[in-house]
Amino acid sequence: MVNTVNQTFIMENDAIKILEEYAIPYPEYRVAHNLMEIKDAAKQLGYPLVMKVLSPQIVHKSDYGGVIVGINNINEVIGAYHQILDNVKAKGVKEIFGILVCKQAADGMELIIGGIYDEIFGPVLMFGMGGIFVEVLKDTSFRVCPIDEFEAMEMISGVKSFSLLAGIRGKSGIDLKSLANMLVIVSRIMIDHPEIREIDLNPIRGYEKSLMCLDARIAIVG
Amino acid sequence: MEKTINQIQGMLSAKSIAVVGASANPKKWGYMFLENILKGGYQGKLYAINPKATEILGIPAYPSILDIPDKVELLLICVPVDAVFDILKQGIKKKAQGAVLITAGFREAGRIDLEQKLLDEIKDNDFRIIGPNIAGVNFMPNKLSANVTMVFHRMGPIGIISQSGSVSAIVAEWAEYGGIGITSLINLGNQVDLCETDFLEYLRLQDDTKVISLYLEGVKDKEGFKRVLPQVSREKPVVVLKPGKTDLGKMVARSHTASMAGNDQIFSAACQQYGAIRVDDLESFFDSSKFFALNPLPKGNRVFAISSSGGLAGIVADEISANQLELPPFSAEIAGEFAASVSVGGSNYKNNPIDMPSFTPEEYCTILEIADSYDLADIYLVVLADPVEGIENYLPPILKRTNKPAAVIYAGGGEAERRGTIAMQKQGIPVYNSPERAVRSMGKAIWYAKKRGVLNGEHCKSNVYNGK
Repeated sequence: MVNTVNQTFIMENDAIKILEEYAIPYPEYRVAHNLMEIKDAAKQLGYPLVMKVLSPQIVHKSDYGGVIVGINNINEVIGAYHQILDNVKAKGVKEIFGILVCKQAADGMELIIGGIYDEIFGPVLMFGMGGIFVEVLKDTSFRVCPIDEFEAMEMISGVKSFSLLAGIRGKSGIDLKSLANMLVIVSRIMIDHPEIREIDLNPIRGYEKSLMCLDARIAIVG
Repeated sequence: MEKTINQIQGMLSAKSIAVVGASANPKKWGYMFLENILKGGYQGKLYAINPKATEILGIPAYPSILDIPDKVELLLICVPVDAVFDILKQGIKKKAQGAVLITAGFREAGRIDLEQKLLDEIKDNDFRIIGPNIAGVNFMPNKLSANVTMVFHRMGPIGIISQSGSVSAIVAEWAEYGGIGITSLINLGNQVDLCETDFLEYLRLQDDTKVISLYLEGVKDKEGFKRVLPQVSREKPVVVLKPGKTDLGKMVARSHTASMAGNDQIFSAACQQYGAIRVDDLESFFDSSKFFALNPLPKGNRVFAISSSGGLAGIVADEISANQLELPPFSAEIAGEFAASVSVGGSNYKNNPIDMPSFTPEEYCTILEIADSYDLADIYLVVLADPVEGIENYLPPILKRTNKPAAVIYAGGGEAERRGTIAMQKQGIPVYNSPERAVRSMGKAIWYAKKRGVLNGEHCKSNVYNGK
């Protein structure tokens, strides 16, 4: 088990900046610090929207009721804002940096790409299909970083649920080449940034011709 | 690192050894080491360092290394911890190449400071240490059994590197009594100086070593291990046994990735990535090692099998499909040729495995020769469920002539089986006492053969590209 508790999760808006550096697709978003900025953001982005709390005290936003999806109009925006604040304050959160307002992505296959710092091998990449596949069935593959595209394809085809990714029974699969490319890039992030101890891109939505990262948790040493 | 490899070679091939802490008391390790080195047939000069004796077991004894009138290339140190440091000083003065440091009581006893003291002692001195806290080392090309556990006489293609003295002794003993033999046994101990990575690099170049059997509990030289393991795997199979620590403790505020990733899973993934063959248990550790030691690598996964038992044939077939191997069918003409060449009642020559309850060794050979002439398979398997007297006099040469990997499953054969097993393994054919042991080893060999090809750039396309 990774014993390094000497690490801090950065807030999602900072994690997104790292993703942007590496051209990892994330929905269009704004960081808003008050209701007025949130309303402006909603006007600029359009609907439907997702709103997520940004707080240095929160890593798993859903556990705090800090994520609301399916926001369809300005009234719901205002409602969501108040709801999120009530929810997180009820759980004892005091430091609220702001709200991340993002365009809501279309439904698709859920994937997880992760990075972890192993005490023997250093930066290690993880891949799996999201939801029960990783959480219940533990259907994952790991590789020591850095990897190349060939190794990325091996990782992808190495999960037991691979046939779902590739597409079966008339259902189209997802964009495997982009997925392999994203795995290579995340392994690069782990190598370029030795201060990063964990990366959790979960979920990543997989579509027929593209991918979109919907949530990013990054922990750095210290 | 070339210098280190040469230093290891120098130590293991030492032509003069001083056992420091030698004892005239047969119950002490200082006696047992001398005895074992002698029993092992060491041909070099041997000295006992003991303040009171003039000779022990016929070996000249001196109060100190510095009193020895001749060269001393290697020290074997089994004195108490406090006395070790002066011995090292003397060894360096005597220009010895290094020490096999048996003494315990260092890092494992909480004294990391003493290990730093060891390093300070040898720094900049061209003097290396194996250990401390070990049972010893064996190096057959030099007939060196500097080991307190057992003496080995048979030289074979297996090189053992092990953090545990007893695990290495068990595997070496199985190899010795099985007629297979080892080239070397390195008990790593605390690895204050020379570590697993150094010995991997050494054994990669050591000509008699065909397979490396690596037992680890942790990794000392992490950066080196990552770099060296794939390098070695490109050339020789490394079979790895590492007990897993499955304590996935719960940690709040960790990501999904962190809570999913057990150390042990990552270790397996890394072995796979680097081409090392990780096994799950001690039997597989030996079984795979012996398959690689005695066989060329398989060029494909087709198996042709002959079984003296229908029942066992069924179990074998199950194991073969479970291990990603195949039992290809053959034509009726070929089946006819099998049937016409031997006349064993109650046989079925139409399927693979062939079911032929024969007690005549030549009959197995006849079938194999026909099968090989048609290139029916990449791997040969002979399954014996009864005693077949003399099988060891006929089968191995035929199997070896095919230049393909082979194995024998021999069970239920009583004394004939025990004799036959050792005799066949002495001739380079691995024999297993169950279908699963044999077939699992084949499965690992297939995996390694493919992976080695990939590591060496022979295949550029993954399954995904091939439209799997």
